[in-house]
Amino acid sequence: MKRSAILILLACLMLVLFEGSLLGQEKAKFEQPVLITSAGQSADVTIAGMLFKKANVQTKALPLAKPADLDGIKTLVIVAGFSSKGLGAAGISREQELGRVQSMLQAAKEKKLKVMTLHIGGKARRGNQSDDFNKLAAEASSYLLVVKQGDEDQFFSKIASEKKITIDLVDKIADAVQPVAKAFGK
Amino acid sequence: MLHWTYILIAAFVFVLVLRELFAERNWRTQIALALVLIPLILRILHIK
Amino acid sequence: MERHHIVALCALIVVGLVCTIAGREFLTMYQPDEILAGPGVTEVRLLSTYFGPLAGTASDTKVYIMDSGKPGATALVLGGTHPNEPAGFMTAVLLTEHVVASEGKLIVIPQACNSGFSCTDPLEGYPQSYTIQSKSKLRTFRFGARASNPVPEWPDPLVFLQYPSGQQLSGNEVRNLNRSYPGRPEGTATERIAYAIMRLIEQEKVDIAFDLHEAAPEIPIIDAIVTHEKGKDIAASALFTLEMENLQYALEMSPVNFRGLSHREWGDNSHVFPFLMETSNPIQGRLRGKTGTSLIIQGVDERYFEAAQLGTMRITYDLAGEPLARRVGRHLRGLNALFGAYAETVPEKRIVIENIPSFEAIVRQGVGQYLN
Repeated sequence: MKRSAILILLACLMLVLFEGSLLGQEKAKFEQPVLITSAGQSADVTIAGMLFKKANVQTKALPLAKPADLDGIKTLVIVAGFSSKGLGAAGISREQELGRVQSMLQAAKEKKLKVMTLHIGGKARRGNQSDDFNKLAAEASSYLLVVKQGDEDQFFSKIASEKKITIDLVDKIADAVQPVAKAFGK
Repeated sequence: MLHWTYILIAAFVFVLVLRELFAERNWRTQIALALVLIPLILRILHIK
Repeated sequence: MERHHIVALCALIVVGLVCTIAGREFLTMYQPDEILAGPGVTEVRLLSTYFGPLAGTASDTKVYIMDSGKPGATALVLGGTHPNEPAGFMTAVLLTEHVVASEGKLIVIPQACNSGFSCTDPLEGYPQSYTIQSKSKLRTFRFGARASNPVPEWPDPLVFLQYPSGQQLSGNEVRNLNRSYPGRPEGTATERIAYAIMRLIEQEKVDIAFDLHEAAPEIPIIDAIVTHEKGKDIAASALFTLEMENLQYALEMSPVNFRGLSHREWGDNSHVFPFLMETSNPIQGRLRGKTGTSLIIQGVDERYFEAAQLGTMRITYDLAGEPLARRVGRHLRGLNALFGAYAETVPEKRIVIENIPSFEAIVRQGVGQYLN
């Protein structure tokens, strides 16, 4: 009886000590090397690169990445949000960009890569033109990191709930550094 | 050049309207003629 | 004298009175705005200093130089590229009247498109001017048109061929300074302004340059920093700083295939890091209701509030509106953040500007508190 009690106590202690890692296993763990690309050609890719740098995660940022660029990559990060100036700068049409993003997500699925979507542009990257890209990227992801201003109507929260995707909502872009670091086990 | 061309045309039309203004006996027509002069004159400032 | 002669004479007197009153009102648009250079200004030049043929024309404009006397970066700030965007102009006026450079050199052109301040855009119903109570008196500033005055450049072509790209734009864009860069010495009046500014950038060895603008609240590129690709890291870093001040900005890249704009051509044709900033200006919007001076200063319009409630706006808009003080505050903090981000990137060449008001201070006290 005394021995059983000690064993039970030890088991409880182990559970308490490792509770953190058990919870961590419920959240997707991401690995490097990381490729960052855009869905919609907003300049938020540059900001995302800076975010990952602050989180000590090395990345390669290719706003116009193609499936071949996924060779050797373990995590695909999509920065969602449409910019007409961005499309103009890239010299491609909206339909071409949608096609590119779809092919990237398909290739990531075939290679069994983890996909993370960042939406850090707030209200400016929402609306009819952006939401096609936002939805496409979000639904294919295992983790969403969203600045709250872009989720005032629960657009991303609803997708996360329906597709059972982990989502973190932050107040500001700068607040996204910690969740990124945590996602990569830093 | 444009400025002086316009002033010449405006002066010519002004004289014509002035003649009609003093010859006309119906006061309503006189007022209409006078009103025509306003944009004609102000246009000079616009072209400068 | 006959009765109809008396009527004719009376009508002529009335016409004379109307023309005198309306004419005098019209001619006030040609009176230059009073800008009272502050303690930081070390020299005032004319833009024609950099390109002689501009002298004596409506295109010439004042250039205010604030030289700290200490080595550092040289920054150029343009206001009034579009004279119907008052926050850009007023930010430049505030800089001229209030700040001091303690390292490097700051060059400010408050009215880059000077001739545009002497006319208005037809059919917009814009007021002729607006007033701001400064520290010492009631100041009046003109509210101009989007582009240069058409009179010196009349007529507009049917199609504007942008030099040197050959890009085709609507004919009236021939007078839009922000489609005319890099300009040319033998071009239109507006192209020559653009050329003079490029020469200023070259001769003063400008390191970082800013073009301050506004746009209708419903436009997608609003509350934004537009950057040439060489400045994207500086802009991204500045965005973080601005976020710490609770100011959200969108980052936009300058399209390589849209020619003639400052953020494209300054970057392509010189060594400068160019940035264009946009704030939200209800008087330019298509949804606006009554157009008057209060819309310039207070920026309150119930239609924009309704639009925000319907979720059609990309910015937050409440019944407090988008007052001039807030828009000028955004531009000032944007400049400050970009100066700081530039100093991080090029630490051997800093520009330090003292007395830039905090956002909270300018919103609380108003723009006038910082004008002489």
